[in-house]
Amino acid sequence: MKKYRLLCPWQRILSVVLLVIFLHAGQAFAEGKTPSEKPVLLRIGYLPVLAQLPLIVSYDRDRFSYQNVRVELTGFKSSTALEAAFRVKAVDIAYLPIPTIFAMRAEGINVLMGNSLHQGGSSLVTASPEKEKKSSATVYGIPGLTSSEFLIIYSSLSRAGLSYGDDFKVVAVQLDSSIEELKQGHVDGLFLPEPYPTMASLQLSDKVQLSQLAVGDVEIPQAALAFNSNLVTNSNNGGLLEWLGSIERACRFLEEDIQNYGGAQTILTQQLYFGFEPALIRQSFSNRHLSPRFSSEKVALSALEEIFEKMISLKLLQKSVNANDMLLDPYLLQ
Amino acid sequence: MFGAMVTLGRTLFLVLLMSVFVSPLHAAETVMVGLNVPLSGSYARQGEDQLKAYTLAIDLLNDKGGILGKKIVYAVRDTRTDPVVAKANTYELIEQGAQLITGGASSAVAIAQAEVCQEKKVLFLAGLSHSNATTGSHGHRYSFRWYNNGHQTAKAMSSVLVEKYGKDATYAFLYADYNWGQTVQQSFEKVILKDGGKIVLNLPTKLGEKSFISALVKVKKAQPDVLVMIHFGEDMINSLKQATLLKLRDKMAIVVPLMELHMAQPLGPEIMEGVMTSMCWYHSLADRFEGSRNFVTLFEERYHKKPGNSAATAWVNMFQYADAVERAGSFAGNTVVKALEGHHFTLLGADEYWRDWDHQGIHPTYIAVGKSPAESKDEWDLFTIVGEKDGDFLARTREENPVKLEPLE
Repeated sequence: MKKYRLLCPWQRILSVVLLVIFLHAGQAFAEGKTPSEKPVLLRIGYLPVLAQLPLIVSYDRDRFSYQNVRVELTGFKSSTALEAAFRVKAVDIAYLPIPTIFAMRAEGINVLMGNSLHQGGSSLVTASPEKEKKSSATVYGIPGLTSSEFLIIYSSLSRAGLSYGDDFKVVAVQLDSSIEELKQGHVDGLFLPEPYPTMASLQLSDKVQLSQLAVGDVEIPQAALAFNSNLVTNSNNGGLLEWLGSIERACRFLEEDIQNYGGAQTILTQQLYFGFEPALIRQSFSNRHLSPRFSSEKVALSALEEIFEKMISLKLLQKSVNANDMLLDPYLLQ
Repeated sequence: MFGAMVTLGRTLFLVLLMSVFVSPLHAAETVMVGLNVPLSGSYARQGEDQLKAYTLAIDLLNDKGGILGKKIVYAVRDTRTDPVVAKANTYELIEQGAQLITGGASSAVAIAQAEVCQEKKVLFLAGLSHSNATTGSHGHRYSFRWYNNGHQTAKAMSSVLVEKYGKDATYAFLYADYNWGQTVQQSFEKVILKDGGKIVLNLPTKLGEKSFISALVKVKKAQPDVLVMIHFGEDMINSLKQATLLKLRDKMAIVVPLMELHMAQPLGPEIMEGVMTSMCWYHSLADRFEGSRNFVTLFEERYHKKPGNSAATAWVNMFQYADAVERAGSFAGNTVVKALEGHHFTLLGADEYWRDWDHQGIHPTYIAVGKSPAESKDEWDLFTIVGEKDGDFLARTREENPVKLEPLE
C-alpha cells in the first residue's frame, strides 16, 4: 500500500505559490486578460449589410479599450470579394454564410466556425404581378450560390409546391447592382440581406412588394463568424476571447438601441462604415419583422446537420464535412 | 406568360407576406451631438483622445438617463485637421439633426466650425483650440472655448522666462504657419519684448512638415539663449526630435508653449527632460482635485492609459453641455448659450467659469517642466507642475480683446 507523507515546509510554500500562480493565470484567461502578451492583430473583413453590424459596432465602441487585441477592419463591396479575401488569408475573420464555411471546409481551407450573431434580416423583393413577365421560371437574385439565402428560398418555395428549375431559378447578383438588375427585368425578384430589400422597395415604390420568406419550423442560423485556423493558437486565445466578448456586447447594444431607440445610435454609426443614408436604415429598422435580430449564439450541431443535408441535396457539397471538427469553441477552451 | 404569372402569384401567396409599411417601432427620444475630431493627420492622437473622452462622458450621462430624459446619440466625423473638411462635416452633422457640434484640435478648424454654427444657430463647444482668435477676432455668440489661449499661455510663461533666463535673454521662434501659430508667436513676442528680451529669429513652418532641419540649422546659427517651438501634435514631436539630434539643447533652452500629453509620451523623458511648457490641465491634478481624480480613474479603467488635456476639454464640453441644457430646461441653442454665459462650475479643478462677453473658459494655466528618466515613474509620468497662474489674471481684458459677439436671436 502506498504511503502518503506530509510535505516539508518549503514544499508547502512552493505548492501555495504555484497554486496562486495557477489560479491567477486561470482567472486572467477566463477574463480574456493576459496583458503581458503582445496584442493579437485581427484583420476583419465586413460587408455593408445590416447582419454584419456587430462587427462594426464592436470596433466602433471598443477599439480604444482593447488590451490584448488590435483590430483592422476592412470593408468589401461583395460577398465574392469578401470570401476571396478570406480564402487567400487577406482577412482572418469574417461573418460568412454557414454554407460558404461548409464549402470552404470541404475544399480543405482551414476555417473554424464561431457563433452566429443574427437571425432573420433577409427579405424578398418581388416585382408586382401586373408587371409584364417572360414566359419562363421566375428568376430570383441572391447573394451567392453558397449563401443562406439560396437554402432559404429553395426550402421555402419547395414547401410551397414549386419546383426548382421549372417554376423558379436563382442567380447570384452583386449587392450594389442588384436593384438595377430588378429594374432592368434581368431578375423577377431579389432575396437579399437588409438594407437592400428596403432600398429596392423605396426606390421602386409601387412596382415591388417586400416580404419575408418562412423557412420552416426551425429557423436555421444564416451566418457565423469564420476564423482562419492559424489564428487560433494558445497565445492568441486571450485576444480572441477579449474580441468575442466585445462582439457579444455589440449584439446586446444593437438590440437595445433598435428596440428602445429605433436604432438611433446605430444609424449614425453605420454611416462611417457602410455609408448608407440614415433614412434608409431607419426605414429598415422600423420593421422588426424584416430587419435582423442580434444575439451571439452557438450554432447547434442539429442546425449544422440540417444545412449540410440541404447542401448535399442541392449538390452544393460533394464531400462530407465533419461539423464537429469545424467549431471554434473546443480550440478556444483548450 | 400566364404560367409564370401563376407561379409568381402562388409564390407570393404561399410565402409569409409582410408589408414594409407597417407602423414604426415606438422609439424613445434621443438628442444628437456631432463629434468633429481629427482622426487622421498631424493631430490624430489628440483627436483620438478627445473621442475617447466624449464617448466615455456620453455613456456615463446615458447611464444616468441622458439629458432631459433623452438618450444622447453621436455621429463622428474626421476633420482631417482641414478647415474645409471640418466645415463640410459641420453642415452635414447639423443637417442630420445635431444639437451640439464639438471637437477639433486646430484653431483653424475651430474657427471654421464656429462660423457654420453661428449661421445655423447651433451651439459649438470648441475642442483643443489655442488661438486668440477663437474667442477673439473670430469669436461668435454660439461658440465657447474651454481650452486656454495663446495670450494666457504667453502671460503665464513670461514671468517664468524672465526668472529662468534673465531679462536680456535672446529668443528664436519656430512657429506653425497658420492662425494658431501666428497668434501664439505674436503673444509671446509681445511679452518677451515688454520684459526686455530680444528676438533674434522668427521662422514660420508649414503645418504637417516632416523635416525641420533647415529651420533648426538657422536657429543654430542665430545662437539664441532660448528656442521657442510653437508646434503641436506630430509637428512638435518631429521638431523636438530633430532639435535634439542637432544637439541644439546643449546650447540653448527649449520652450514649448503648449503641451499635450500625446506629444510628450512618444518622445519619453529622455527628450522631454527639462523642456519648459504650459498646460491647461495635466493628469497629476488628480492628486489635488476630486473632479480630476474621478475623470482620470474612469478614463484609465476604460482605456488603460492617462488622458491628456485634449481629452479633458472633451470631458468638460460634454458635461457642461448636459448641465447647461438641464439648467435651461431646453435643447434650444439660444437658451443653452444663455445658460452657459457667465456660468461658474467645478469639474476638473477649483471654481471656474465661462466668461459671458467672449465665451472664454477662465481657469488656471499650469507651468510644467519635463521630468528626467529617473524621475518618471511610467510612460505617462512626464511633467512636474512648477507653477500655476490664475485664470482671471491671465485672461485678456476687454481692451486687449475688443470682440463683440452677435445678438442671440
